[in-house]
Amino acid sequence: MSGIQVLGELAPTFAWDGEKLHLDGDLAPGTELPANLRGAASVAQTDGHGRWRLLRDPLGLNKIFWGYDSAGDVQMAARPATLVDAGIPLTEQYAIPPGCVVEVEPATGCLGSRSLMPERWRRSWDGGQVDLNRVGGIIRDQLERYLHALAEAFPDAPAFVCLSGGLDSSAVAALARRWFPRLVAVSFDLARPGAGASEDRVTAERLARDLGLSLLQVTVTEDELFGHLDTVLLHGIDWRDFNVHAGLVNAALASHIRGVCADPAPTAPPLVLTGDLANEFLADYEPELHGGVTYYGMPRLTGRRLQRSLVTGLDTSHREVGVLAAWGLRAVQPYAVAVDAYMSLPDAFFESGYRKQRLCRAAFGEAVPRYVYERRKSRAQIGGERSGGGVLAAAVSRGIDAAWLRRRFAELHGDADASRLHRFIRAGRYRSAIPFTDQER
Amino acid sequence: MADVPTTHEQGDAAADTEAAASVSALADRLEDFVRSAFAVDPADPWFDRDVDLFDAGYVDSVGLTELLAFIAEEFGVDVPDDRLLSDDFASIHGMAQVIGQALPATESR
Repeated sequence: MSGIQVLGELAPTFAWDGEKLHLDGDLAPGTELPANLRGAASVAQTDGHGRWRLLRDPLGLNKIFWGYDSAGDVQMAARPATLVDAGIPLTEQYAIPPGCVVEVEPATGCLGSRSLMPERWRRSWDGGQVDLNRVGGIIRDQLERYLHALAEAFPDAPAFVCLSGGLDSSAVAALARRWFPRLVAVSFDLARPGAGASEDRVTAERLARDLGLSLLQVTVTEDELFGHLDTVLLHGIDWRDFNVHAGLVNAALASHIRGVCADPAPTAPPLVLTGDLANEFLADYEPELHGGVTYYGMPRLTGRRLQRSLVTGLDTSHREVGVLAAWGLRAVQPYAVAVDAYMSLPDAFFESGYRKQRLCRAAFGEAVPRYVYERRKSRAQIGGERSGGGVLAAAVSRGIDAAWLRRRFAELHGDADASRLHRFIRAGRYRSAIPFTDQER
Repeated sequence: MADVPTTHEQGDAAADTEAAASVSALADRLEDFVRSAFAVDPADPWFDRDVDLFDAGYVDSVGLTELLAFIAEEFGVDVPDDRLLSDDFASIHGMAQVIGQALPATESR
């Protein structure tokens, strides 16, 4: 008889239905699912009587991969590498589709599946007008209540917030400090001989001071940074340079966070809050030019079309949840719970100037200091005038380019043919299927 | 004497012909877009409607995102995730078939 085995642990569930926090176990088979499940969630659980529920959150923040073993059983895991170790090659693996809830009886087959993804997220054009104060108010309210609920659920967990000094992480830090009294900010910088601290570090220092947070300064050499490369490829589950470079920064932060709380209470592994996702929700990315070459290519789309493609692509982004988990840390991406507010923004909003600043000001107002709103966007991957090149420049100088990353990812997953990886990720989505159906191909 | 097709069979054959014409029309529009958006050389001898666009390097992951946006806008079709990474959604001809299957019956005629 066919069965299901889950190898290792899935990423923790930090889901939100607009009113209530849902954690591991709350979404077990037999329980009624909330109508608007948001945040990170993954379930692969049996009711003890042969019936399973398989579930991934609508953004696909948590991952579940699966494949048939030689006995015809389904093996599931949070990482493809775990399945490779169990004898299931990458070419025979699938993801549970994001936003999918499946009820399965292995002896009978798939009993049914449905999507948690609202239809309106798929709308690529919206000619309506936006009331920024209303949308901003919803975002603020959702974040405040979610952070409050988290703090109440994990009163003993050490809490950190990744602070780049940009608007997104600054807003999370500004709100979270109210609910997490011992919140520690964490700032990344790449050590550069003869160069000063990065703009990000300088702003993070100032901001931590102004918000009354202690600051863990993580300054790493290139050697230290690239020493995490294999971990990032394995746990970030992607070889594309943008996600790998961001994952390297997160790996450096995770390593140092782990160092300062090496022995947390077993029931309370550290929580790490981040400002990720807001850039996808606001389509706030640009390709980067370095040495005459364009990196981090973006689809030539605008407005909601670009937003939609970036949000869909979160299926294959595990640069935070996955990478931090490699150090036993639980990443929490609070913006995920406000996704519907962002997805309600019409095209006119995306065509307007300073859209992020205007929306953030409507959402967070004076909670975020004015100098953060006035800052030019900066990314640790890119670096700046003060600090020289960032992670991107360092990777390029070492010959770690897109082809190198593909090859290494393939090697680490037991597959020497990197040219076939486009059959695993395409357009920001993993190859997906539902087990015990004829979908897999 | 050859078998004479029944009315039902004649109807099926007509529908098949119509569907094939429809898929061919979809492929025309897809090919125009791919050639234009991804700067395919008009004299490229390797490019045709059956070539694997990804294996052959005509379209990458970012490019596919643009192609999906085109398909959604032009045909009103959201390609399901399970078809996106299937072997048949790799060539222009295969994509046209996937789109043809996803189109409402009235629109695909």
